[in-house]
Amino acid sequence: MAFLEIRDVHKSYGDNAVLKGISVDIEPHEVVCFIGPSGCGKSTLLRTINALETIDSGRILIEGQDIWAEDSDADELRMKVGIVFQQFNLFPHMSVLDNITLAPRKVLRLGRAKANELADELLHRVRLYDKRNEYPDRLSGGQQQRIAIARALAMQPRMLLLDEVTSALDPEIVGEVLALIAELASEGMTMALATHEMNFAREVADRICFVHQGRIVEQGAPDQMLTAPNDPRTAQFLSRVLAVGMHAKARKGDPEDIAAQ
Amino acid sequence: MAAVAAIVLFFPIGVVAASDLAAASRLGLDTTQGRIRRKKASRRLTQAVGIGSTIWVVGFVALIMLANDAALTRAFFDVEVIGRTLPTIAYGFMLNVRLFLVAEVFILIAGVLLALLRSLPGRPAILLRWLTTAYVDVFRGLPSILVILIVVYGLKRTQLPLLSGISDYWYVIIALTLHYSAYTAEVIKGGADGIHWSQAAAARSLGLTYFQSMRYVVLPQAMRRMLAPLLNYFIGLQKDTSLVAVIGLLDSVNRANVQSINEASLSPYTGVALCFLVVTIPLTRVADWLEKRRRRRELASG
Ligand SMILES: Nc1ncnc2c1ncn2[C@@H]1O[C@H](COP(=O)(O)OP(=O)(O)OP(=O)(O)O)[C@@H](O)[C@H]1O
Ligand SMILES: [Mg+2]
Repeated sequence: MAFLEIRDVHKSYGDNAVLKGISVDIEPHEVVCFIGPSGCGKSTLLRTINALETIDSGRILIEGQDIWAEDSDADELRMKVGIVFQQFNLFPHMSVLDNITLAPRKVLRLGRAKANELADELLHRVRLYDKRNEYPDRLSGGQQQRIAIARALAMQPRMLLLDEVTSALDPEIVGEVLALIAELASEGMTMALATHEMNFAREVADRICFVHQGRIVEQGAPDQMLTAPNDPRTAQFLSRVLAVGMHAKARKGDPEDIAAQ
Repeated sequence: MAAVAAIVLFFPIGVVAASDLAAASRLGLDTTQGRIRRKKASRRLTQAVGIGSTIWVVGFVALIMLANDAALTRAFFDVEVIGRTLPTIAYGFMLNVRLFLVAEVFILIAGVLLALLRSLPGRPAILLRWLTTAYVDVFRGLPSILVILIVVYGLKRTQLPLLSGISDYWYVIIALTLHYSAYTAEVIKGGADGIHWSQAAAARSLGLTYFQSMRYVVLPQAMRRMLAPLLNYFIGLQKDTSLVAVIGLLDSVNRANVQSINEASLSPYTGVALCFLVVTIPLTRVADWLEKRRRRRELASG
């Protein structure tokens, strides 16, 4: 059985239809990258997966359980799926250690000692143990994102959602975050990523989904998708992104805008 | 025109400024000398306006104080009467302070609760949101004295089991809480809305409940933005405690009412003014300082 099943999900903000019938399954240990132009709905899709956004119609099932069914507890299901955003993830008024231990202490009701132990283990894993008592504003963007990933892992999620976690970073520190993600992928973490890093997607993804105006218009193995896409819209998007270079994403702008400059 | 005004306001500096201006226009603004003269002139003009208007204000106040055989001064600034009545007025002022402190605790609790209910997410909470919004709108829209009158004279008549036994003092606390919690809720909600959405989302995604994410993540961060506006409302609250005079509680204002009849003088009111200013001016300074510090920090952190 697929870990995550998304069935014909629709979502609008007022008149703006953002998701127009998305269906996709993600198997355990699978890494799926969502690519597509800015505003196509990647972030919205990821947020609906762990119930941070409601949906208008369709179904989202995690391990076979509909997250919006009457008898399911969104808070509990959410714990199975961690999410890391593009930026502003960490709580600026808490130390790194408190950032990581907050949820284990308040939600899992671990004692402080137990929670610290867990945090220290994760800090070693993301190689930032020496920053455990720092505050987020004293860390580089890349370090902040690695801490955010460690914090998500502290709840022992079965799946991670990563929404352009390197988009706000300087090019020279993107690598350290991508390396960590690749490591998690190789350890078998189930992941869904929204990304503009085509090279990275090719390396780490088992499958790439191209999202266009709220629909998945094409999906397939990375090599096939990136070198020989079937859909003209995919081809057009890729040629634009690749033309601007691998770091076109850096700013929030539409690749179209950047290409036009 | 400005030069004329300066001459009228403050003759000597105005004259010098005017001569500077004349020299500047003679030299022409394309010469360095001319520009320097002009700058000097404008500096002197500002100075002249400052000094001149100060003299006018001081003069005007002096006129009021001295007019009609110094009637106002004798009425309000009889030092002997102020000294004689200040102890009892200060004693009454303790009631104002106590009302302020006790009401403040309830207001903060109610304000936080209202703000939380008002920004409760999801469709099931729609009625609660609507209700708290209506509450906030109504109590922000009513004069506080009306709320006090309604609660003290109205609520008492209901003879409700819990409320019937309490004193007017507690009715006033209820009224002030009803009124000011509406403002406080607005400030708190505003502060929480200013925190980036991903903070609450990150907290929720980690499994924290809505209330936990507010308590541990959003509100502590919003605190810094809320302090100055909250303090400003509390200064208003401190002043509004004097409204209890209308229902007959013996606060500083009511004691001044009594004393002013006894002494046949308005000077007891000056004692009340002194009492309030001793509290409100430092609070105002603190609020301004907090606001300035917040602005500076926000600029510094980009
Ligand atoms: N909270 C919201 N309220 C209203 N509209 C929203 C909201 N979030 C997203 N949208 C709209 O939904 C559409 C899709 O946004 P989304 O952030 O999902 O796109 P995206 O594919 O992640 O783009 P990007 O690559 O720029 O991150 C956009 O038109 C956006 O304006
Ligand atoms: Mg996005």
